[in-house]
This record gives sequence, C-alpha cells and structure tokens, in this order.
Amino acid sequence: MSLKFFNSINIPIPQNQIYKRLGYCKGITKISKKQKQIIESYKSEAILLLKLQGVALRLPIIRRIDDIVVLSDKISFKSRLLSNLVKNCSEILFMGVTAGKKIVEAIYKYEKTDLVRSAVYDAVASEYTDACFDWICNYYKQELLRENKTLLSKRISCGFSDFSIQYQRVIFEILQLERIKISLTDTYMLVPEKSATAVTGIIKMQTVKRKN
Amino acid sequence: MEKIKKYLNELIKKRIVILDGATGTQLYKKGMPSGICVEKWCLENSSVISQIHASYIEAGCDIIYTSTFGANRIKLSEYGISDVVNLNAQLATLAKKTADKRVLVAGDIGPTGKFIQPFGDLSFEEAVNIFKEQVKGLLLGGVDLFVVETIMDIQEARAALLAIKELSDKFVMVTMTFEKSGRTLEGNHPLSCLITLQSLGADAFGFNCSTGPESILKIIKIVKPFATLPIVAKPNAGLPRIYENESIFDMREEVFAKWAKKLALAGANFIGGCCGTGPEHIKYLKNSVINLTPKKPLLEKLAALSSATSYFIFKKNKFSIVGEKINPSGKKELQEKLKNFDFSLVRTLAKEQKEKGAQLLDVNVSIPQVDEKILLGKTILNLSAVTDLPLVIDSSNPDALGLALRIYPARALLNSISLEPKKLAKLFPLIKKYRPMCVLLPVWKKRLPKSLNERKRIIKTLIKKLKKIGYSKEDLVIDGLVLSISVDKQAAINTLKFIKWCHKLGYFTIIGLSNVSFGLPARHILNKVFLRLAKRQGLTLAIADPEDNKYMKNKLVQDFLLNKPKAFQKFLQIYAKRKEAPKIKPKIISIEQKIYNSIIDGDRDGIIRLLKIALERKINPLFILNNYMIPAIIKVGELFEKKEYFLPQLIASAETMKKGLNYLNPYLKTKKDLKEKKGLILLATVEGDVHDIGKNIVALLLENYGFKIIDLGKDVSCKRIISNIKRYNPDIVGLSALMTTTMTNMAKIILEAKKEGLNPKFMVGGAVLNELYAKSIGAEYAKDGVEAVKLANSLIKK
Repeated sequence: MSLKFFNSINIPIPQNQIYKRLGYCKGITKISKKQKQIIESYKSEAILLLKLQGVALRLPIIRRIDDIVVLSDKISFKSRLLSNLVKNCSEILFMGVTAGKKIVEAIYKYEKTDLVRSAVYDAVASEYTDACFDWICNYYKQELLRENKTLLSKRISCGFSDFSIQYQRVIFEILQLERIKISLTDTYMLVPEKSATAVTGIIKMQTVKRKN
Repeated sequence: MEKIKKYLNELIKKRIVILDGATGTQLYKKGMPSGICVEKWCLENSSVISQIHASYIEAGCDIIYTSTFGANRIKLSEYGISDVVNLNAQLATLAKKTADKRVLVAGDIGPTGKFIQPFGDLSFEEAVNIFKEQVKGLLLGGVDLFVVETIMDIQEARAALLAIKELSDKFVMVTMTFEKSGRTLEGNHPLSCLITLQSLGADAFGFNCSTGPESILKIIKIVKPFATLPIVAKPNAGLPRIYENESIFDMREEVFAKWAKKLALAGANFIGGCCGTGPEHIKYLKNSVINLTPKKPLLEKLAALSSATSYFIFKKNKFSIVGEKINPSGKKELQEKLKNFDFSLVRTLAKEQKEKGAQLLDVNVSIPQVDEKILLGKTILNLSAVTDLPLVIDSSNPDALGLALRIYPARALLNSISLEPKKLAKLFPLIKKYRPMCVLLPVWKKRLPKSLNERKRIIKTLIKKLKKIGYSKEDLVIDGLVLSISVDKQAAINTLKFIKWCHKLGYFTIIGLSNVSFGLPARHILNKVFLRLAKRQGLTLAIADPEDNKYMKNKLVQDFLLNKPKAFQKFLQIYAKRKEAPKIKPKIISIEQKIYNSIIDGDRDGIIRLLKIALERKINPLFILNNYMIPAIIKVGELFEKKEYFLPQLIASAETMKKGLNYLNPYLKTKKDLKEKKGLILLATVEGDVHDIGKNIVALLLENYGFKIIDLGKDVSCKRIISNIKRYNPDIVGLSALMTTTMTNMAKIILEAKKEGLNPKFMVGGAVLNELYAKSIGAEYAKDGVEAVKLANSLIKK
C-alpha cells in the first residue's frame, strides 16, 4: 500500500471542542458580548493561520505474538496496548497530521505579549489537529467499505501506556512525515508542535450476516 | 435528445427505476481475495462478474453497473496497470454481453482517491483528463449511460461530469456519499451539491454508500423540494457494526425493501443497493416499489447559487447583500497583495463581510497590467476553500470568466452580460456549458441607456438571446444600473422605476448601491435611504457594504434622491458641513469602580488610561490596589473556580492586572513591604517538552498575586534547573509537563535537588499529571493557575 497524502484537509470548525478545551462550561460560563467578539476574532485569525495536512499508510500485519506485532522484517512493535488493539485486524493504519508552522509560530509570538490570543490559538490548533484524525479515519472508512473492511473506532498514539514514545521515530520514517514539513527531535517530539501521529486497526467485514 | 436519455426520462414518469446492488460484496462472497486489483480480477474471472450481473438482472433491475468503479489511472497505477481505456472497454463489453439488451448498462466511474484543488493537490484539468480516459474506454465498450458514484468532493463530481459531457451526450447520474453529519467528508452540503450538479447538466443526482437508507431518506427530504432532476438512492444494507469481533452488515432484505418504499415515497426515482446488498435485496426492493407512482421533480427551474459547502436560494420577496469589498479599485493594499498572489487580505475581507451579514460575495480582481485570467482563477480557488458564501464573479474579461466558471466548485452568479455582440459571442458558449446564473446589464455597446425605455429595450433583447440557449427567469438577475445622483439628478428615480418594472415581470434584480452617492457628502446616509427605497420596489440584491443594510428613514435625503424641488440645496446646506452626531452621555461610574470593572472584564487596552486618570485625581495608588485591583483579581479567580469564567477571561483579567501593576509600581511607596509578603518562585517546563502555555498562564497569575517569578522557559534540562535553584534559592520550584513521556523528568529533578541538599518546595502541573503522581515524586499538585496561586500561598505560609 502506498502513502496517501492529504495536502489540504477541510473540516468544519470544531466550535464546541475549542470552547471546551478553553474551559467553557455550557450553562455556567458567562461571556459578555465584547469578550465573545474578541475570542471569536482570535479564533478566526487562528483558523486563517492553519495549514491542515495529513498522511496515512496501511500496512498488513504479518504476525502477532503476545505483545509483539510484526509488520515486516524491519518493522515490529512491542506493546501490549497495540497488540490488544489490533488482535482481530488484518492491517494497521498509521496516520500523521499537522496544523502547520504558521499557527505554532503565532502561538509562540503571542505567548509573551498577548496570552489570551496565544491560548485561543493553541486551543484552535489542538482541536483542529485532533479533528484531522477523525477526518482521515472517515476517509478510510469509506475507502475500506469497498474492500469489505472497516476501521476500529479506537486509535492510540505512542507514548501512551507501554506503546513506547521511541516508536515515534519508526512511525515518523514510515509515514515520511518530513514530506508534510514535520521534523522529529532527539526526544521524539514532533515539530511543529501541533503535529501528532496515531495508529488504528483495519478489520475485515463478514458479508451479510442475518440478525435473528 | 439521445435515445436512452429520452427513454429514461419517460420511464421515470411511469415507475421507479431499479438499479443493481453491490458488486464488491458479491465478489468477496464468491471468493475474490482482498488486496488485489478488483477490475483486473474481474477480467481474469469474467464468469464470476458475469454471474453477478446476471443475478441482478434476474432479480429485476433495469440498470446494471459495469465493474469499473476503480478503473481510473490513479487507482490502477497502484497495481502497475496503465491501459485504462482497454480495461474499461473490456469490462463494459462484458456487462453489455450479459445484459443482452434486457437491461441498460451504466459505465461506472468511482473516485480517484485524490482530492482536487482547491481542497487537494490534483489540478482540476488533470482530474478531468483522468476521467476522460475512463469515459473513452466505457464508450468503446458500448455503455448506455454513465454513473459517477461514491464521490465525497463536489469538485471531483464536477470533473467527472464535465469529462463525460465533453465526450458524450449520454444520460449521466451522479451520486455522492454523505457522512452521518449530513455532509460529505469535504463538508459539501447536499443542497449545494444538487444546485451545482443540476445546473452543470447532470441528468440525475443522488446518494449512495456510506450510510444506510435511514440517513439517505433524511437527505432526500432535504433536496427533493429543490430538485429539477430525478433523484437516485443506492444505500448500503444498513451501517456496518461490530458483532462478535467481526464487522457486519445485517439489514435483512425485507427491512431493506421497506426502507426502499420510504425512499420512493420521499421522491427517489432510481433505487438500488450499495455495500452489503445482494440480488435478494434488489428482488425485495423491486416488489416493494414497482407499483408506486413515482414522484416527479417538483420544480422545472430553480433560482439558486451554491458554494462548495452552502447555497443561496432566491425568493421573490427576499433581499440580500452581496459583499462589495473584494474589489481592488481604489484600494492600494489589496492591489499590492493581489499582484503578489497574497490572498490573506481577500480571505479576511470574505470573513468580515460574512460576519456583517453578506450572503454572497462579489469578486472583482481587475488590476491594470495584471493577467486577470490567472489572478481571478487563483482568487476563486482560494476563496472557495475558505468561505461558504456563494460567489458573484465580476469581470468583463471572457477568458478570465471562462477559467473561473470552469474551476469554481459550485454555481456562481456571473456579473455581468451586456449587449455587446463581440463579447456575447465569446460568453455564450461558456454560459451554455457551465450554466451560471447571470446578471444582465442594460448597456449597449458600452453606451449607457439614455432613458428608462432604452433600458427596457436592451434587457428584453438580452433575455430573448438567452432564452434561445435555455435560460429562463430563474437563471437571470437584472442590474438596476445605479448612476451617481451628482451626475444625473434623475438617476435614482430611473433606477427605482426600472427595478419596479423588472419586479413586476417576475425578474430578480441587483444594484451596485454606492454608485448612487458617488461624489456626494454623507454617502452612508444616502446609501441607506436609497437602499430602503429600492427594497420597496422589490430589489433582490445589492452589491454593498453590509453596514449599509440598516433601516434609515430621512425625509430630506429621500426628497433629494427623488429630485424633489429645493431638496438638492437643502441637502448640501446640511450635509456638506455636518459632523458626527453627538455621543450619548455615558453613565457616571467612579474611576475606581471603572478600574475594578476593567480587571473583571479583562480590558487590557483600557486599564492604563483609567489609572492615569485616577492618579491625576490624586487618588492614592495603594488605595486603588488594595481596594479595587486585588479584590477584582480575587473575584476573577472565584469566577474561574465556579466555571463562570473560562480560560480566556481569566488570562485577559490577569494580563489587565499585570499591566496595571506595572504602571502603578513606581507610585507605590509601600512596594518594598508588598514584595516582602510574597516569595520567589522558579518556573520551568521540563526537558523534552515544548508545551509551555500552561506554565506561562501560571506565571502570569502568580505575578498578579505579588510573587516574584523567574521563568526558565521550556525544554529546560535538569542540570539548568538545579544550577538555578542554587543561584536563586527560590521558595518554590514549579515544574510543568504535558506528556507522559516527559513528566518522568520531574522526578529526576526533585531527586537530583535532594541529592545536592537543596530543599525548595516543589509544585507540579500539566495535562497528564494528577495529585497521586505528584505526591509519589515528592511534590504538590496544582490543576490550574488559580490553584497554583492558592498552593503557592499555602506553601509559603508553611
């Protein structure tokens, strides 16, 4: 399977999630019209700075023994969390997404001079990055239907539980993340900051099974 | 009309047309392995695909689809296949042979798997060419009609439809796939897709795959009232669900058939099945709908525009504003940016005008010595990706209009067509092909009409010409041609009379509002009053500043516009000298209270001015601080804890407080005492972690409460933190981490400090931390900035 690049991900504004990330509680938090206008204008500015891109790759699972998942001679993962996640799967879907460099630069720029703006930009970038994963998953769900397959509803990222952060380098390389202008630090951080990777499983569907 | 097209158009009047069911589902059922090229496998196992076609014919369908869903250059290249035309031709021939004239064969075209500009990187022309290859092969194989299916991007649907229409005049069905949200993955709205595709010449439009019949039924109910063409429904057998570790489609045939009946009653004219369905589903489906009277399209014509994600439907007495600001005329900054293909200002203008109430956007990028064709094309693509308002493409350059209409992923309003024979000869083929709505301008050979009757004559001639290419009232908007009243005192009256005439004939109208006040004082007042008068005559659209769409009644201005005796002199006497209206007196609030309010409201721009006034009035700065500023920030903390305030409000208040404190500091005689009350805190985001916005918020709040802060920044090594503890001897060290992988560095720092005999108190925070973890490493935990202040206060007391 080849890498699939999504050079311009177009998603609706995750309005509720952005406000929720900023601590907004529906029915409790009170914002004046002026405050709302300011926050909304920062949100709009942030959206104009986003460059949402993603990449994904399907790789078949060659074998799975206990906590080891083998994808090829060179690629294998030792993680109970991952192994359990993909136990009924034929393939793994790797995904990488980024909100781009401009928004992160703007977050840093305003950190010292206008922290409100910076915090709103940060929330916008974080929520859009998360939403990119949902978008890519929906894309694959549609593609996979034609192959009688679907995606698991759960996805994980390295750094969680026993899925070591060191696998970030493996994922970085197989997804060729540098092609969407993401780099990796020695401590396995993705740069620009609002970039992330995730994996999920691809499961085969049975044809038609009757409900009794 | 092409024979099959005629036949199908007749058939849908008599009954529901039955389409086949899933091909993929049946192929896997019959043993096709996964991970292979389906189309190649079908050729190599032709008896299997023929059996599937035959089983659907036997089940009673009227149309079978060729097994060419993924037979385009991009998808086939993944399997090293390059002979696209031949593969499509052979698979079409196979289907035709099985059909044996008993049923029709639709050449099936699926998505390329790539996204097209402006939403992806595949150019529109490349996409059209890719589809053309497939169309050529399917035509060679003798297909009777075409189906473009499972499309999730309107631009891809347009590319495929244009590819077919540029090579054939056969019947084309376009079906798109919608998410549970009711939109495609690209965010396209079903009505915007309907408007775009039915104006571009699709013969049927509908929905397939993705969701089950229930969701498709909902969408049909949305689009049917606006459809001028038949509707297609090809749902899955429900939604796949996980059952005993397997994902399955489990909708039984009888249930599927019941849904099919509902789809027909809601207005579907072609019905079949997609993933998870088989011949039995089709058999049951046919039995349930075959005796129903089909619901014909409810409209013959629809006056509507679209964007990729939204739509605009014209109604007789509905008035709307067309944002006028994307026009470089007289705007140096916009001109410069456009010349450099910098579209940031265009995007901002689009956003601002929408926020102010514009429902359409006029786009004019005509700049002397700039290639308008290229610039307009790029502007259209940029705007299409960022605004959901339909565009009014404003140009007098036919080449630029041609490109814009081709690549705009929706149905635009073309502004404008005048009675200029040479230009008309160039524009008519474009209009005929892309079917935009058109603005008709009553201008003949670049000459303005001298009388109202001349305006009417020009428009009647234009309408006659457009009717010949199939245009009707619903496709046209007549320009009221507003001229400046400073040049012609009758200008406003003529326009108002002309609008009334158009409205009586049932035509939609548009004006360029601000022209009326050109060269005059009080332009916004004139514009507003004139707009009110024009709306009373039935005006549909005004290209204007959305701010001008505010009700204004002014007898003098109205008299002036209507050329009443002496009104001209009176108007100039009053408005040529008039300044702004006096401001309303504000309520009297004490300056101290204003300072308190400014912190509560987070008014970062106002605090200094207020403090300055307070100091000028000789109010004691310490009194302001202790009695107003500190209580205000404490109140903000309380509001945040009760969740009545959320983070942006908390930070805004804290920043206001900080600004105020910095300003007051030189005036505070007891500054030294104040500082002695609080301690020194060293803050850092630990090594490996670059997320430090949370730490910055904590620093800001702690400073507000009088703590001295030394902020080492982010990604700070253990060594650097230890050396700074030694250097500053802080009361508290605050550490932040956002990731499970970096939070372990906190423990190392605390351990190292102990080893070195350093004993500051540690407080930690960050998204992945909790109290338990903090305790386990010998630190205190604060979940947010307000808690950090409380914790710091209590740690200092200890």
